[in-house]
Amino acid sequence: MSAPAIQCDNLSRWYGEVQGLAGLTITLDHGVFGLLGPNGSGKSTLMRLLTGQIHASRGSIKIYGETVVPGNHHVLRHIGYAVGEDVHFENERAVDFMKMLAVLGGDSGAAATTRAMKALDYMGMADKASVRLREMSKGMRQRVKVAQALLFEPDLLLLDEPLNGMDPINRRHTIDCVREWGESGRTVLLASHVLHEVESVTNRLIMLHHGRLLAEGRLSDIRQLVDRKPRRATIKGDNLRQLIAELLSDELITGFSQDTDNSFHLDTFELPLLLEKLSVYGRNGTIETLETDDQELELVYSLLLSDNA
Amino acid sequence: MNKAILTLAAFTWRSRMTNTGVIAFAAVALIPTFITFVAIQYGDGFVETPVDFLREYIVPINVYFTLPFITIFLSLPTVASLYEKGAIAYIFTRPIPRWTAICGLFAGSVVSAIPLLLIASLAPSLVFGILMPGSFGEVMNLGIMHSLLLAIAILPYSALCIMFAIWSKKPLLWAAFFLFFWGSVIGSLPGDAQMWSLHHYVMGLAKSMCGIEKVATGLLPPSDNPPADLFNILVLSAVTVAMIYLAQLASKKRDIY
Repeated sequence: MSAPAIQCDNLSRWYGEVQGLAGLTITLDHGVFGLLGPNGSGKSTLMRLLTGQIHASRGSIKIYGETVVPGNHHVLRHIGYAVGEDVHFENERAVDFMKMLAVLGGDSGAAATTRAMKALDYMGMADKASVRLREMSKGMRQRVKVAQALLFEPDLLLLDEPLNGMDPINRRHTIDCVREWGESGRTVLLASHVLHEVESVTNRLIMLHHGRLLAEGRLSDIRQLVDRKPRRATIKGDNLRQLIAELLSDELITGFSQDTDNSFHLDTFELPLLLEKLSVYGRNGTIETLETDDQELELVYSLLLSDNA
Repeated sequence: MNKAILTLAAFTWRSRMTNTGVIAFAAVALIPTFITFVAIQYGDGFVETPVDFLREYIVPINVYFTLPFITIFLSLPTVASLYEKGAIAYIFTRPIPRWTAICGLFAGSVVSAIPLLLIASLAPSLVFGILMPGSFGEVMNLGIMHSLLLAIAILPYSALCIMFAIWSKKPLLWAAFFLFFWGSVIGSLPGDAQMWSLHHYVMGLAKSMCGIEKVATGLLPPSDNPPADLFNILVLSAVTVAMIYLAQLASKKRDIY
């Protein structure tokens, strides 16, 4: 398909006085995308808008070129959607629940059963097909939720917090499935408020905060944004004052502070250059330890958030 | 029939009938039978003729109470609970028209209610047939017509409830108002207002199908000049279709969350 998988133009949604999503403009093609944000940032609102569950207050959404509005069921044939909320069909056996959704997708009889079992098998739930959903653990129901989204091998897979409640093994399995799905040329949008979850699946990110787009792009692109912010490196060792004086005169650092344990916190806009210089000093044993705040995606997020604030 | 409608009807049937709440509904549906049994066994001549007793007590009880009760507490939650839990998202995010989904849920709610209405209408006749065997044929005939009446009436009542369940976040209040107050009270009062109540047309059918001329309490009697049967059926059918249509419109207007 030539049209982008998702195209949102100035998309906004208010819940009374509360802004759920504010002027979001994004275009997503193929691959896996992480939708990041703390609770209440607008992730689920975006998912609901994309699946025509709620109305946009302003703006438009297109999925593969087709406009999404509640009641336009044609566009939904492209989409597999794992709802953020728990599966509430408690009395249903997993296979009956899946078969019902397969029939609603256009299958009938044996084909629906085959499709349901295939999707359950893909998520490692084939042996639990006859178990009622109320008798399953949260993690198992989460896998059923993902399995029902995969039923028709959709071009666009929308997963709203799919890893919640999963144990580490199933989390790994689900992450592998999602990644595999993305590598097959389809589009996956995975919403989560847990950064390392998203990081384990993709480095293409959309970050939301208070309904606004905080950042979009590859993790490396977002890091470039971060590089415009003052960063901090911490070094520890003896006789570092001369080094710090040199760094100040070279304008590699903008300031520093000292801890009682003989460690120095260096503020810089030139972290890569600073690290290069420090590594030279490190080789002759002057620096005992070197830490930077550049390693964690969480930090990237918190920096962007503080900038937004 | 459309397979999506059938599968949703089957799901609704399973969810309603495998729920422990069905025991409470069965108990409510057995109230007319209990009244019949008590009247026969302990009424001390209270029951003069079984057919008159059924016409004056049991049919009105079912039309005024059992039918609205089962519709409100069985049909309405079929959709209302799906909305409350957000589970309707699993259905409305499938590539099927909203009207198909709503027809499936409606069909399932009707099919789930019918066994209960059969208990409410046929069981009292069976009790008469067993305890007063001389009237078996007559009471069973009346029982069958009574069942048919309730099966017809459940269609618009159920469609109305489903429309309220989608249109409003407080569907119980609306349904109770329209089925109990507007239905039974306004539909029985003399004057033109009764024409705007479904109850008026249901009682019109009751008059011709079950031969009801009066109700034992004297309250909320059927109209002296009810519309013709064909007109009654047309109105009830039209209301059913109109409510399903409005329900699918409401489903496009209302956000799921």
